Amino acid sequence: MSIPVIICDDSSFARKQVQRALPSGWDVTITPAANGREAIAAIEAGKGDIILLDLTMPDMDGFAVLEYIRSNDLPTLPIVISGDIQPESRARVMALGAVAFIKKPVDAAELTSVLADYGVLSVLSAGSAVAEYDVRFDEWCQEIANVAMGRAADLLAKVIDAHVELSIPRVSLLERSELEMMLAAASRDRDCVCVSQGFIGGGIAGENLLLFHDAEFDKAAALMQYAGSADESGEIELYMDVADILVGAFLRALAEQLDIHFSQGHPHITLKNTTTPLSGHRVNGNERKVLTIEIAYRLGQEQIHCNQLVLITAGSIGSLQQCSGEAFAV
Amino acid sequence: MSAVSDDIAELHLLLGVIQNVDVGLVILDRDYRIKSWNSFMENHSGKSPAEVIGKDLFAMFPELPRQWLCSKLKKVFLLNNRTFSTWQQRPYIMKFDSYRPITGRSEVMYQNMTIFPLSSTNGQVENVCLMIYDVTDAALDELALHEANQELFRLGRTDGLTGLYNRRAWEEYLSQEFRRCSRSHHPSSLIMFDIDHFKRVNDTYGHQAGDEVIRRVAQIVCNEKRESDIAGRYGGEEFGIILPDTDRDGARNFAERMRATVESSPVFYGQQRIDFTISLGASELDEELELHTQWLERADQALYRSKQGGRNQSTVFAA
Repeated sequence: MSIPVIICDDSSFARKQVQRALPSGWDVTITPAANGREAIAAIEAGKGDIILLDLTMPDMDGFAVLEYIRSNDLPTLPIVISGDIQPESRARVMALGAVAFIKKPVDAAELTSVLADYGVLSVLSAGSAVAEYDVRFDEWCQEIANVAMGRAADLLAKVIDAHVELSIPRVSLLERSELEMMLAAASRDRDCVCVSQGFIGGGIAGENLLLFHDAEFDKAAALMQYAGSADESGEIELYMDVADILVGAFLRALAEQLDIHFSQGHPHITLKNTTTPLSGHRVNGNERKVLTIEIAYRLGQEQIHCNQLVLITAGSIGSLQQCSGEAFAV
Repeated sequence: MSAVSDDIAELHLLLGVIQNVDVGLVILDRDYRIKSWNSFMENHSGKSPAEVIGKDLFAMFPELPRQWLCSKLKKVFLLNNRTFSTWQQRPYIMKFDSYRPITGRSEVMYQNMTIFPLSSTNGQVENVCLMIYDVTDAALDELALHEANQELFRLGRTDGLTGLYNRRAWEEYLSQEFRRCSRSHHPSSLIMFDIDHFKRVNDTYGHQAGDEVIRRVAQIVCNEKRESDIAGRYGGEEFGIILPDTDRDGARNFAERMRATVESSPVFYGQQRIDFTISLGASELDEELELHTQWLERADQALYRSKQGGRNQSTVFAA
């Protein structure tokens, strides 16, 4: 008698990763769900004795799914698998009735031991073939960015002792002109502070931009428990501190997943109140396209906005695909 | 035992530094074979240590300036002395992309390089280390500063209203021309002129009309003068023109031509026609003069005579 299991994640690559991490020979019938709504429907149709659930999703996120399961007393065992690994998220998930919290990228041994703890692994039969998902390159990028973002947010949350609200990374292959327009729009915002930093390794070259909008020194200073001077150098210090943490953790987590190591250039800061804050950022180069990953962070109660743009050169895409070890659907 | 493990621990730390430091480090032996290749080099070149170690540097990177670099390397081995290369000499040693490939101001990484000798345990220099720094930002800032300075220099020597040299710059040329001709005994002449009754133009038609008149005069000077003649705005309505390789007759002809052209070039300002004239004084450089200011004085005296004589005329200085 096979066990009905739902794998709920907006990323097909993440669903594939979870499926690969399931114990081999475990007799299950898998129903994929790309968002919370699909997951609920599947549980109500009796297709999910166990649900392996992502948190950050469009159209009903993981928290909402857990709330629904609890208030409707649905018969399922929810196990959360998430890139958002901040202590507050974990605590909230457990309070909402999840039986376990596993961090992405999911580790097969950890998943097996959790399943064993709940006695759902009864008998493992001879390995049954599982259907392969087709993974798209942009979905894969989104998922590795998602994991890296979660690590970065977790580290920052520890430092500022406050929660960092995350959204889904947006992956797009932009024309240079589109990117230029985007940067120009950001630079029109007089209160925008930008920290940019190059990185290179494993045949992948890119640049990380961290943009602080509506930069309000007081709020940010309070959040970072910053005690230094409130002049320009103090302000630079503050944004550099945030950038060190977010960018460092993000790039490290990204490199780890690709099994490479990045060299990181020195950060370059562009302050507000200069007439064109991104004036140094004339988009150059001959490559027409830029792989762009946009991530939004909201820091603490004050909801300080911070946007991250990970820009990767078109010439790096081949190496990136090679590092992934995936065969991507066109 | 513990001393040995301390040594190993320290070595481990040092290796960590070499790997992570954000400058390129390459160790070469006397045959230019690569013995060490840190992560900066690996990541920026795209070639792993496994690919390059034991290989000839120039075979691996044929685009390197071999002759130039070899002579530097030889010197380091021979003299047991460090050598340097700055981006001003060569913008880069290894052609790497800029560290900020998307929004940086340059496509290539500007580099400084230091090569220093490494002694083996027997005291012999068997290896050298190439240290390559990314100096893109500093280089671009310096280039931008240089450009800005050149522009400032130009602006500092130009009269804003007319585009002619300002008094300071023009006097420098006058002094140069004076020294040049005192030595070479070539003829050279100088013309000073001003606009007649300029105050009346300003009072009658306003300062903007006055500016227009000054601009017109400057334009006529530019049209009439030769490429090698040097014109400047000496004061409010006073101008000077240096005429190299020109004797007093040539200067007289030029002055008369200027006078006639100005006389027949009224300015139309709004609905008004403004007629105006100039008075000129010329002086040919002669050997009695000791200072360029004396030369200037003679031209001024000639100009004064033109004014005394009723304006709208030119005079050549005669002792």
